[in-house]
Amino acid sequence: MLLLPSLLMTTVLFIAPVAWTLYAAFTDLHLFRVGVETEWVGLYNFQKLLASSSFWRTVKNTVVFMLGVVPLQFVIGMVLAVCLDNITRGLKLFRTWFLMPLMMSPVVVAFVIGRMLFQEDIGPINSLIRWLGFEGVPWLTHPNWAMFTIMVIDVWQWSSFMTLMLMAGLQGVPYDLREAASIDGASFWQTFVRITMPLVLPIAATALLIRIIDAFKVVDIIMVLTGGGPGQATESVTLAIYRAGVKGGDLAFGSSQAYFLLVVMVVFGGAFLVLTRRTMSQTKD
Amino acid sequence: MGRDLNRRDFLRLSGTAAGITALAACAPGAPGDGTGIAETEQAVIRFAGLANMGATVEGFILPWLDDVGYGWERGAFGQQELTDKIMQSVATDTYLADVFQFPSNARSDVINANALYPIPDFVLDAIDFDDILPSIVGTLSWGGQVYSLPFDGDVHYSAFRKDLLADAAIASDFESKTGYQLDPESGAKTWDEWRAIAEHFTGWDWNGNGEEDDYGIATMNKRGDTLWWGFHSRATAYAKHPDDPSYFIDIDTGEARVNNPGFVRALTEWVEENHNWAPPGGTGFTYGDSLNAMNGGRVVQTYNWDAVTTAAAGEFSVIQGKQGYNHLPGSHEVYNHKEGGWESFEEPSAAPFLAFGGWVIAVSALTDDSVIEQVWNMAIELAKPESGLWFVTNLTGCSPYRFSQLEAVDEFANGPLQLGEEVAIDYLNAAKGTLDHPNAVTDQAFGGWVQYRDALELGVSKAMANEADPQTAMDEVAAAFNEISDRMGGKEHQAELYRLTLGL
Repeated sequence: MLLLPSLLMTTVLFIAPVAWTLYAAFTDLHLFRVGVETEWVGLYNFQKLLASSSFWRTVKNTVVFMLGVVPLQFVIGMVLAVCLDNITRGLKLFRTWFLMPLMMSPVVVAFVIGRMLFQEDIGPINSLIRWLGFEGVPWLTHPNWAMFTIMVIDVWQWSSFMTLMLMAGLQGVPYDLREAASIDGASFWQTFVRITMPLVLPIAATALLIRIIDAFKVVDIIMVLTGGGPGQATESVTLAIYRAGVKGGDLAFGSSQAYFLLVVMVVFGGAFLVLTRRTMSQTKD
Repeated sequence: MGRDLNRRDFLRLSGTAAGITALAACAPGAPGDGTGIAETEQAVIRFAGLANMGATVEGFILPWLDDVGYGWERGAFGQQELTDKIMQSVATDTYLADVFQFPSNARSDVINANALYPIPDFVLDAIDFDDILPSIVGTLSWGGQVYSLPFDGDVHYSAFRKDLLADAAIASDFESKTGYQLDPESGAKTWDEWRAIAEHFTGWDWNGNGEEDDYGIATMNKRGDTLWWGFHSRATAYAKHPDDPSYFIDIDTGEARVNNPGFVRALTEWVEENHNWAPPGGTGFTYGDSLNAMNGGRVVQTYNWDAVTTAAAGEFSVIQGKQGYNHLPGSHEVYNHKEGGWESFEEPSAAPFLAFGGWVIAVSALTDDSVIEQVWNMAIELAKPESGLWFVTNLTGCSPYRFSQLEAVDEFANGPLQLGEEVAIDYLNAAKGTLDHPNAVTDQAFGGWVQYRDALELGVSKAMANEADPQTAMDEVAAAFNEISDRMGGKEHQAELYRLTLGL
C-alpha cells in the first residue's frame, strides 16, 4: 500500500511517456497534418532512420563530441580536484570560483563565451590572434573549428562538475593510507595510481557516466552557437530530434530518433558500468 | 497499416496521463484554464506573443484597457517557442490565449486546424480593411475569408550606403573597373551589379578607420536562424518567372522546383559572395550580425527587414542618414521552369521576396463567448489605422502594410524614428516597390512550412560550408521537399494549399 504513491508517480512520470513515445514511433503521428488520421506504420520510421545519411551524421557528431569532451573534462577535473585537495589556504574561494561555470545557464555560456568571445570578425580572441600577426580563426564557420569551439565551451562549463565530484571522492580517501604509502617511500604518482585512484574509482565512474549521458544529449550550446551548422557539422542527435519532433511536428520520426538514442545510451551506459565493475574487482584482487 | 485513431484523439488520450500530474499546477485562474473571466467578473483578455513585441503591444494597449475596464494577461514567448506553442495548442485543441500573435507563414497550419475565429465584417469595417495592401491581405486570408489582422508588413528591402555610391571618385573608379555605373538612388539594380559592388568595396579603407577591414556585403545565412529568408531573397530574381506563379513547388503537380538552374545559380553566387566579400564569420551570420555589420559601417550593402529603422537609431548605428533603400535587385536572366531554359530580359526582372510576410494577430476559436465582444473591441483598437501608424513609426520592429502608411512621409521623417525626409521617401518607395510589385514572391505558407524551411536550410548550409556543391545540395533539398509533401498529404494536396496561399 505504501508503495502505491511511488508506483503511481513512476507510472505517470516515467512509464507512460516512455510507452507513449514508443507507440508514437510506430505510427505516422504528425502534429501539423490536419484532417489526416494517424496510422500504424510498423517499422517504417526506424527503417527511414537507419537509411538516413543525415541521421548517421548526427550520430557521428554526437559520438565525436562525447569522446572529445568527457575525457578532457575528467582530466581537467581530476587535476583541479587534486590541487584543491592539497591546498591549505583559500580552499573555499577557489572551490567557489571553479564551480561558477556550473551555475551558469548553458544558453548564456554559449552566447557570452561562444558568440561574443569567439565572434570571428571583431571578437576579442580573433582580435588578439590578429594582433599577434596571425590569421583569424573561423571558429564557428569552418566545420572542424565549429565542433572544436563547441567542445571548448562545454569543457569550460562542465569540468567543474568533475572537479566537484572528484573532490568529494578524494576527501573520502583516508589520509592515513596516503601517509603510510609516503612513509614507505611511494612517490606522489605511485600513491595516486595505487591508492587514491582505486578508492576514488566508484565516484569517478558515476561522474563519468553522468557526463557521458549529458554529452549524448547535448543541444543547448549547439543551438545557440551554430544551429547545427556549418552544414551539418555540429548537429547532434538531440537537436535533430527537436527539429523533427518539436519544430517540424513529426512526432513519429522524432520519437524513433529518441528511441534510438535511448537504446544507444542504455547499451553504452551498461557496457561502461560492466567495465567499471570489472576494473574495480580487478583492483580489489 | 491500419489503425484509425484520430490525430487529436490520440494526442488527447496520451495527454491525459500527463494531465494528471498537471492537476496540482492548475490553480483557479491560472493561465490556460480557459475561463477567460477572473473571479471579479472583470473581463480578462489573455494575449500570447513574442516577449519583445508583446511588451510593445502591452505598453500601447494598457491605457486603453484601463479606460474600458478590461483586465489583461500576457504570455511572453521566444520567437520559435511561440510558433511551437501555438501549433501544439492548435493540434491538441488546448486553450493558449484569447488573442495571439503568429507568423503569417503558419496560416495554412493554423487556419486549417480551425483554430481561429473568422474576422467579422464589423471588425474589418472598423479597421478600414480596404486600406490594407493586397499582398498583406493575402497573408491574413484563406480561401477568401479573413482570419487575422495586420500588425506588421515584414518584407526584405535592399539597403545600401547611398553616400558611398554617390562619391564621384569612387563611382569613376568603379565604372572604369567594372563597366557599371553606381546609382545612389537605386543601389544595385541587378544581382550582377550587387556582386560588382561587393567585390569593389572589399579590402580597402572606405570607412576611414585606418584599417582595411571593410567589406562589400553582409547577409543572414546561419542555419536555424534566418537562412531561409536570406537565401530566397537572393534566389527569387533568378527562379521566379513573371509569367509563372510557381516558385517553391509547382502549383499544378506539387513537385519541388528548388533544384532548378535558377536556384542553383543563386546558391553558387551566394556562397562565393559570402566567402569572398563578407566580413570574417560572414558565412554564418545571423539576422542580427548582418544588421550590425551594416549599421556599424563595415559593409556597403545588405538586405533585411529592419535595416531602415535600426540604421536610424543612434544606439545601433553609425550610418544615420547615409543609407538608401530599394526593393531587392533583379536580373536580366530568369530561369523559365516551364520552358526549361534561361530567358533574357532587356530590363531587369525583379521578384521582391515578401520575406515572412509579417506577424499577424488572431483570435482563438477557443475564446470564451463571455469575452468575445471585448476581444473584438481590443482587436479593433490594435489594428485600426491610427494604431497601425503608431506601430510602424516607432522602433517596434513593425513595417508598413497600409496604403495610407506609405503616404505618411511626415510621420516617418519627423516622428519618433526621425528618419528625415530623404530617407523616409526612399524607405516608403522601397516598401511600395516591394509590397505592390506585380512579380513579388509570397513566402512559403502551405502546410508544414517549418519542415521545408529546415530541409532548405540544411542543404544551403552544406553548400555554404563547402560540404556539398550547390547542385548536389539543392538536389537533396528538392528530394526532401518532395518527401515532406508526400508525408503532409501528397504533392497534389500541397499544390492545392500553395495555390490557396497565392490566392489562386
